[in-house]
Amino acid sequence: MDRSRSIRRAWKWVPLYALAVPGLAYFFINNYLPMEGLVIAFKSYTAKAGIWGSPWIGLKNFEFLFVSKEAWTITRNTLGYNLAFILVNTVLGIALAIFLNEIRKKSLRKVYQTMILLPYLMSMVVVGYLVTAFLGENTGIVNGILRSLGGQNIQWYTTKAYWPFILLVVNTWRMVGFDTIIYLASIVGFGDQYYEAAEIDGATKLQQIRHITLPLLKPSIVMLLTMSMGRIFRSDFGLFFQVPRSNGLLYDVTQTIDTYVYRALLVKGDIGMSSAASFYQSFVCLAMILLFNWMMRRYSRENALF
Amino acid sequence: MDRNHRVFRGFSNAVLALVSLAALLPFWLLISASLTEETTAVKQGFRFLPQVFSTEAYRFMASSWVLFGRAYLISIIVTTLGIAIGIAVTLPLGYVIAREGLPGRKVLTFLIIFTMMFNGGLVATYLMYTVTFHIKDTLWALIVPNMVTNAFFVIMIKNYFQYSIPKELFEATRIDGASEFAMFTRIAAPLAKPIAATLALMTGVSYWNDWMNGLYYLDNQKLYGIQNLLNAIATSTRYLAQGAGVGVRLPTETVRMAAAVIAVLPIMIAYPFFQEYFVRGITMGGVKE
Amino acid sequence: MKKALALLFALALIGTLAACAAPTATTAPTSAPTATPTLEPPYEVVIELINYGMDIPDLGVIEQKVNEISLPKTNTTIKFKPVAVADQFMKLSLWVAANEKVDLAMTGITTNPGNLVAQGCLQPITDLVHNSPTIMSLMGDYLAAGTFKGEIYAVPGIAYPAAGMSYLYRSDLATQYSITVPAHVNSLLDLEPIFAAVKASGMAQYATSLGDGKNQTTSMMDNSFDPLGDPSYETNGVIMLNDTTNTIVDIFETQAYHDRVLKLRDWYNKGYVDTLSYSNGYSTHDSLANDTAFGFVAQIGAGSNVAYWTGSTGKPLAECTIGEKTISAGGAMNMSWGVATTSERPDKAIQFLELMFSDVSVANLLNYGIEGTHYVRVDGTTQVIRYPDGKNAFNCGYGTFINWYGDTKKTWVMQPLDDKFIASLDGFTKAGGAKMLASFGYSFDSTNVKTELTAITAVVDQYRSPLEAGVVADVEGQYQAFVQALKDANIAKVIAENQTQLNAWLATK
Repeated sequence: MDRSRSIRRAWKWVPLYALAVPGLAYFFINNYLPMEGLVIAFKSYTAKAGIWGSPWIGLKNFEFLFVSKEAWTITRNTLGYNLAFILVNTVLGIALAIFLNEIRKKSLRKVYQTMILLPYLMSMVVVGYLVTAFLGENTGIVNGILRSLGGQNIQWYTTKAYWPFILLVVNTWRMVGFDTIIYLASIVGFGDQYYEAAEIDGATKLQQIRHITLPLLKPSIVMLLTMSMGRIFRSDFGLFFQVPRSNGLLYDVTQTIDTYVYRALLVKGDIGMSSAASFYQSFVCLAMILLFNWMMRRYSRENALF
Repeated sequence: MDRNHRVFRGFSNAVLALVSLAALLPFWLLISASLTEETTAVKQGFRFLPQVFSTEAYRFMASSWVLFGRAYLISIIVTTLGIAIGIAVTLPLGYVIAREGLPGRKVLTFLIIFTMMFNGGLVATYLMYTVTFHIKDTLWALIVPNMVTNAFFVIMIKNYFQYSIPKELFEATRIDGASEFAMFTRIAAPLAKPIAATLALMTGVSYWNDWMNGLYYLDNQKLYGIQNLLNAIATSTRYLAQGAGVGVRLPTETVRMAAAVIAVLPIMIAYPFFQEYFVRGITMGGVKE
Repeated sequence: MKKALALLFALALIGTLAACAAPTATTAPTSAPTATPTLEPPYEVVIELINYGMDIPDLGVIEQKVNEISLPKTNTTIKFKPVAVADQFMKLSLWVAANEKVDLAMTGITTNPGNLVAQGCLQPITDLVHNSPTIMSLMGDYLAAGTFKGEIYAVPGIAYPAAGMSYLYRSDLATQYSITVPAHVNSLLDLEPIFAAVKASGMAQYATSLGDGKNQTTSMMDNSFDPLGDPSYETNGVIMLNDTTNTIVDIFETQAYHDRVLKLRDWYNKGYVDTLSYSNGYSTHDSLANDTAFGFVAQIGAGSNVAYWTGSTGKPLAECTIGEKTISAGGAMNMSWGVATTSERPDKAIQFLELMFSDVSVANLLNYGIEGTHYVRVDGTTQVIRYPDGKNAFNCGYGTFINWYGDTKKTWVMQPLDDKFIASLDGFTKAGGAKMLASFGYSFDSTNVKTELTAITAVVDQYRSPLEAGVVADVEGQYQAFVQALKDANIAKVIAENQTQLNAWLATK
C-alpha cells in the first residue's frame, strides 16, 4: 500500500514540525505580522491617518538618500568598516579560541574565558565614556602618559586619520570575545580523538591547526560569515554614534548609513524617510546574503545556509 | 609533551594574559573614575587610582535606593524568564531545521533568515503589540517584543546540531526505532548543553542590557528595569545638572561612570558562577574527552 | 422611598454641580450646548507629565488633591502620563499612532508644535481657546505663535516669552582681580578686551566657554536675526534684523557669520576659550561649575536668569547682556500645551487648562506638590518656597521636570529664585518693552522641500559645531566647504520656498 506508507512517512515528521511550532509562531508574530509597516516607506505617513490611511507617494521618501554627496561616503564607510570588522574578528576569534583550547589548567582557562568576554557585557554608551577616559585631550590617560614622557598632547577627537584605527580597536576589543566563544564551543565539540591520532603521526601544533582544526571549523566560519553578510549594510549604531560622538570633523571616516539617517531625521522625526532608509538597507543585505549563499553553494554545497 | 607543544602552550598563555589584561583595564578605569571627585576628574582627567577619592556619585544614587532596588528586581526576573523562554523556543527550532531530509526545511531556513533583513519598523510593531496584544505596561512587554529569539541564534543552534554532533549517534538511535521526538529529547537536547549555555549567556546579556522595550512599551515607570533607569539617568543628567531648582548639585560626569558600574556589576558577579556551568557544559559537550 | 431618596440626591448633585460649573460653563460651549445642565460622568483628562524618567512616588496623591478642586469646578479628574524628557517626541508620536488617549500634551521642551502638527499629533483648538477668558487675557498676542494654517494648535505655557543673550561671569573673581565687565554690549565680539584681561590675570584657565558647539549660544549671533518662527532656523534661512526688506538669507553665508567663526578660532588660539569642551562634550555650564572658566554665554529667559544660573552652577554670577531681548515664536512655544488628536473631549482638556491658569492652587499642586510634604514656605517672602530639610527633587516624593504650570507670576517659586524674580517677569513681555519679531506668528510649511531639508540638516550637523567651537585649524577652508555643501544640498530652493510663503503671509497682515 503505497498510499498508507507515504502517509506513515509523512506522519513521522509531525513531531518535528510540532517542535518547531513555538519558534515559528514567534517569528510569525514578532517579525512577519508587523511587515505591513514596510509600506510606510512608500507613504507620506502621519500618525493620525495610520499606516494604510496615509497617502502613497511612490519613491519620494528614498530621494534624500541619493541627493546628497554624502551617499558615497556613508556607503563606503558602512561596507568598509564591516568588512574590516568581519576579517579581524574572524581571524582573531579563531586564533584566541585555539589558544584557549590549548590551556589545560582549568582555573586559568576559566579566568581567561571570563576576561575575554567581559567587554561584550558592556553597553556602548559606557564604552563611549571609556574611550573618552582614554583619549580625552587633557583628561585622557593616553595623553597623560605622553606628557609624562615629555611628548605633546595628541588631539584624538579632532583628527580624522586616527579614527579608522580607533574604531577597529574598540570594535575588536568589545566583540572578539563573542566570536572566540562560538569558535571555542565548536572546537571543544570536536573531541580529542583527531588530535591524538595526529600526535601519534608526529604532527606539529601548527600542522594540527592547519589540517584538523581549521577544516573542522569551516561550517562555523561559514555560518558566522553568512550572518555577517546579512548585516553588512547595517552598522553598529552604538559604536559609530557613541564613540566618536557627534563630531562633524570626523564624519568623513565615522559617518555610516545608520548614523546619517539618525542625524538627518532626528530633528523632524520623519517616519517615512527613516522607513525608506531601513527598507533600502534590508534590500541590500538581502541581496548580499543571497549572493554569498549562492557562492557558497557553488564552492561547497553542504556548508551553504539554505 | 614535546618542546613544540610547550612552546605553543607558553605562547598561548602569554597572548591570553595580555588580551585578558586589555579587556580588564578599562573596567578598572571605570571603577576608579566613578570614585573620583567630580571637579578633579574634569580638570585633571581620570587615573587608574582616584586622585581625590569621593563616593559622592554613589551617595546620590543610594538616596534613591527604592528605585534601584525595584529596578534590579525587575531586571533579574525579566532576564531569568527571558533565558528560559528563549532556550525553550530556540533549541527545538534549531534542531528541526538542522534535520536533514525534513520536507520544507530549506524554505523554513530562508523564512527565518529573511527576518534578519526585513522588519516592519517601530510603528507597525508597536501597534501590533499594544493594540492587538495589549502588552503595554506589563512585564511581558520587557520579555516578548524582539527579544525571545532571532535568526542568528536559531542558525547557531542549527549549525551546532548539524556539524558538532556525529551523525552516527542519530543513525544508531533511529535504527533502534526511536521516534523523531524521542531523538530530540533523548539524544539531541542532552548533547546541546554547551551550545545551550552559550545561548543562555547571549540571551541573558541581551535581556540584561535591553532598554528599548522598556522605552517603547512602558509608560508606568515603576516597571523600569535597571537599564531603563540608567538610561534615564544618562539622558537626564544634563537637564538635571542644569536644573537650578532641584535642590542638589549633581556630579554629572562621575554619576554616569557610577551608573555604568552599577549596571555592569551584577552581570560581572553572576558571570563567573555561570561560567562554572558554561565550562562544564562545554566539556561535557565533547563527545569524547 | 428609595426612589425618592435617589431622586433627591441626584437633584442635589445637579444643583451643586451647576452652581460650581456656572462660571466655567461659558468657557466650553461645545460641552453644554443645551440650556439645561445635563449630568454627565466626570471626564478624565490625561496630562503628559515630563520628568527625568525616574518614577515619581506621589503622583497618585497629587492627582487626588487636584481632583478635589477640578471635579467640582470643571467636572474633570486628571491622570498623569509620565514621560522622560529625552523621549518626549517619540512617545507622543507612538501614543497617537496607537490611538492612546492623551488630552493635554506638552508641545515645548524638546519638541515643537509645528513638527507635531505636521505629524498629525495635535488637533485645532481655536474656538475652545477663544472661549477661555484667562488664557485669552494672559497670552493675548502670543497665541499667534501656536497658530498654523489659521488654526490654533498650541497655547503658550508661559506668558513671559522674551529671550536674550548674556555673558555671565564670576562676580567674585571680577572684584578680586579688578576686572570691570560692562553691563551691556552689542556683540559678543566687544568682550574681547575683557577676555584678554582675564587671560592675562591668570585667575582662571579660560575666559569663556563656547561649549561643545551643540548648544546654540554662540550661533545665536547676539540675537541679531529673526529665525522666522522655526526653532531649526539654521536650515530654513533667516532675516537679519538690520535688514528692512524682509529678505531671507542663509545665515552661514553672511559676512557676519564668516567673521564670527574666524574670530572664534582666533580666541581658541589665544587661549580665551575652554578648548576641552568640544572634545569632552562639556556644556558651557560644566566649564563654569568646574572652575575652568571665568564666564560663559547663556540664553537668558524669564526662567533662566542670573539667579537660575547661579543656583545651577553654584557660583556667584553677574550679567552682561549682549544685543537685544526679543520675543520669537520659538521662544513663546518653548513651553506650550496642545491637545492630542486622541483626546476624546478637547473641550474638557482646554477647560482644565483654563483652570490651571485661573486657579493658583491647582497650579501649585502640579508644580510643587503639597505644602509641608514636598516643600515648605520660606519665611519673610511672599511666594518663595524651598524643599524641606534634607530633601531635594529626587527624594521629596514629587519632583517634576517643569514647574511652569499656570501663571508663574502667581504661583510659588522655588529657591534659588526669589521675590525679585517675580518682579522681573514683566521685563520679559511685550508690554514690558521686549521687542516682538516682525515674523511673529508666521510658520514655514516645509512639505515641499522635505528632501532638501533632510540633506541640509545633515550638512549643518557636520560642519557647524566644530567651526563654532573654534577647533578647526583650517577655518577658512572648512568654512568654504560648509557654504559649498549647503549650496549642493540646495538650500537656495528652501529659502526661495520660505520667501514665497513669507511674502504671502506678509501680504495678508
